[in-house]
Amino acid sequence: MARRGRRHSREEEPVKKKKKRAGRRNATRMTLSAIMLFEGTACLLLVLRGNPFDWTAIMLGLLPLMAWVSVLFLAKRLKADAMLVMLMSFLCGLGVILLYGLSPERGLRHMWIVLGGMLMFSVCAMAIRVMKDWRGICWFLIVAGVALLLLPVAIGQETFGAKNWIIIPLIGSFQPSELVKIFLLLILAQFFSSLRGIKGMLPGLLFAVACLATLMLQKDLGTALMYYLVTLLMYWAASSNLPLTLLGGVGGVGAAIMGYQMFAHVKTRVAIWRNPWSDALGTGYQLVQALTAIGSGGLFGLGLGMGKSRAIPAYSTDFIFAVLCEQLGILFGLCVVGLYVIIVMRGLAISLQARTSFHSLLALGCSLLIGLQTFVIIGGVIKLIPLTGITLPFLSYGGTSLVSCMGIMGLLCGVAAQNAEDREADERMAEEREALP
Amino acid sequence: MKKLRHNIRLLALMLALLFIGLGAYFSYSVYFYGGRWFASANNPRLNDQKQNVITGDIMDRNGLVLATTAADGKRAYPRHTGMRQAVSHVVGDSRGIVANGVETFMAGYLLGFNSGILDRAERLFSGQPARGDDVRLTIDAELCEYAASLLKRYQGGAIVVLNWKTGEVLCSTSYPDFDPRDINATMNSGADNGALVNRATQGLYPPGSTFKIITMASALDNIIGVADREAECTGTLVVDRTTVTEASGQVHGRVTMQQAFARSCNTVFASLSLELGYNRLSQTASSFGFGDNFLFRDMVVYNAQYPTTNQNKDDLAWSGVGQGRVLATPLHMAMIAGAIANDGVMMEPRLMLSVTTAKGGSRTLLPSRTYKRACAAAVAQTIKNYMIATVVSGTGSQARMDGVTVAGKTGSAEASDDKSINTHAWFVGFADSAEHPLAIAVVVERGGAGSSVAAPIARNVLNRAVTLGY
Repeated sequence: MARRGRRHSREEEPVKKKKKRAGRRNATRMTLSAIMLFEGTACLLLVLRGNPFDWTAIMLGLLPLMAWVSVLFLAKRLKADAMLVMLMSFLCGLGVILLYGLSPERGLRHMWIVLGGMLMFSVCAMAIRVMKDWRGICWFLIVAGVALLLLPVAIGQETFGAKNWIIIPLIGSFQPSELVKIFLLLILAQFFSSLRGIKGMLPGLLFAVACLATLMLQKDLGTALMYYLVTLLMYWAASSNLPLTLLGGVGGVGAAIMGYQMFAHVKTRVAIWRNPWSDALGTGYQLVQALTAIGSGGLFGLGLGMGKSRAIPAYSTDFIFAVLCEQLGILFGLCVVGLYVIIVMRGLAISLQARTSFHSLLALGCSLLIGLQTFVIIGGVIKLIPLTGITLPFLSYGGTSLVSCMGIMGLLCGVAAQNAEDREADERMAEEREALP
Repeated sequence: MKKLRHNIRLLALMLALLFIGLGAYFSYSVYFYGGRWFASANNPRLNDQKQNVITGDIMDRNGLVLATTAADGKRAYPRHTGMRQAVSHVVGDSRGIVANGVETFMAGYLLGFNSGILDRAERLFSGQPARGDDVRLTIDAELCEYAASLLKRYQGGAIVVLNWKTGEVLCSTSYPDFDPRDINATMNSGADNGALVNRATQGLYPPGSTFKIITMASALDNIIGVADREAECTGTLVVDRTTVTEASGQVHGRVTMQQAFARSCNTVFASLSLELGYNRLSQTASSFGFGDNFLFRDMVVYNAQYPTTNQNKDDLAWSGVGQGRVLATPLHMAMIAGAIANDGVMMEPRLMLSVTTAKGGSRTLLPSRTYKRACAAAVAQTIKNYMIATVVSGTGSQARMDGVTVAGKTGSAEASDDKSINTHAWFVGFADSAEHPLAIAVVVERGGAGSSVAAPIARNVLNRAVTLGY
């Protein structure tokens, strides 16, 4: 922006900049109003749905308030990117609304977790701006990360063939692998930005390998896939070392083939993907129900809280996208995919603007993780790729995942704020130089 | 940093492409399969909606009611048993036991899922029970009933009649059938005769000699001067490990192409297919719809198969006469006959004539459309002449009609390797007349020879169709 401004004559510049800023503020306000209107209407609809009226749904009236606070207060204070905050807030609100329609208790719980997530968001965003040297902390995070990941192996609960949960008193169930995602991004960004080549990167790579091994041990293959892809792509971006990356890619494919041969449930997943209808009442039930839900919704959906989304197993987690399409329509579903794309592209733009390779890599990792996770789960639900049991960022029910996704957005916004600060400092310097005689 | 930024841009491109692919695939699959997903028997929403909505009527093209909702909320069917059973597969049942019947496949209309937001709001406030749309089909129930009566003597079979200009299905019947009033009796009877399968659209049979239409089209397309050839039929043709023989051991001697076609000479067509090779023959087969993933708007038709894997010379020779691993449904064979009649243009089959809303309005339906061009007009013309000759002086002579020129091809398809069961009798043909644009496919399971079993049935059905004014 600053570069483009310089082409104009100097007198015009301040006026133009002010106008542009005012225009952007207006756009933010408009979008925010639209989001608040959407959430308010949804709240009203959910109240009216019950017979007699469902007064608990009035609690969802908090959502527009939360959107307002997060955009006009949180984003401003943290100097975070208003667009990212708005999109995140909208998607979280949408998640609460959808979940409330399916199960009021889960919807409300999701809303409280969004509040917790906002705290995490702020902490992460602030941490990026306050902390200047991450080296020491990253060593600590490595130890903490491995310890956290090992916890479920020791005292975990097994669900759906994966042993990745632990129960914490007061907080409830907790999925360490979600939280360690944030650690992984920080650690990789720190060590991959090292200038000492592969030697400097080694701690990061070893940590990633350790994570993958533990996740495999827990049979949490979906999360392992995310860790693996993010590590591989960040490594390539940082080192531009194509041969080694390809080697990693080949290793991943080899591991996938081995996994296919070794685990029966991976084989079933692939068979279901190829033709879910052949066993529509057995193994293919999930996917068949998801597809019929999408097909029943049609272009404009059956209406919020209508339909029969609860026929889909795992409707609140893996298949929330099918619920979205059934109730609000396929067009709306496509628009939501578009929102994720905007988030990712915005994140990558932040990564391009960053001044240090640490910040750049961190923003890249955050965008990649959100983008790939969205792609893999939606692709699985619509039968583009075999289904992998991971959450859809912000929408899926699941406390740790939501908090960690919001934390990742916090990191992204922290980098954006850092960029803005750097840019302002530059402009100040340029002005001072001009002021010199 | 510069390199890093370059890499980030590449990754942005990669992610963008991934998501474009996702959006494109999603739109594609929803557009082509969305209706099928919705109409699946596994959709619990259909049963739910039945509690709240009065299911609309299903009528034949003349307005005869084939299924309606009685006052007690149960589905009621025509009083006349013959008619009820003749259309039972097309109409299907309300529980979705019969795969892809109109009751489930068009449930979007019948249960009012396609009604607009205004209709829904009005219903909400008026408090009246909602009523789905009425669907009028293109079939003529009387013609179906007549056609079904001709199959009753045999173990099984199917008859399809369609309008080759528009693709409208006028008659589609399958035997053995069931009584929709008491579908449970059929299900519990334990008889393993597939009474609930719609053989017209889902019965995959070896097409036998009727496939020679496609072998001939391929030869006319690829071998110059094949129409003027003469061939010597010695009664047998030795390939690698098998020997192609004639149907009942005849020797046709020296024949022209037209004679070879009209007398259904296996050895000539087997050697033609060996000359053509897999590539060219399968290309022609696919232009006639073999191997296509049929995604018609109005119905589900099983995909026809032409061998694509494990190709050897023996199979190639047999495939040219519609044996081996070649399979097709009767409806598809009627479409092929229709394409020959229609100068090589194959129409998409239609089953829905009109949809009337509960308030008496009608919904816009997309018009008839071409499914694909099957072959060049000149090729179609030559084959048409051969098919007319088949009826005039060849194996199809029993399909001859007074006043209307019939063109056709018979077939007696082997259903087993060791001839332990009788052949399936086929007749595929059309009326070569602009006033009566009718295409027909008849298959009689284990009926014997196409010329003596299927051809007369085809003649009678076409006769009735012409009398009814089609």
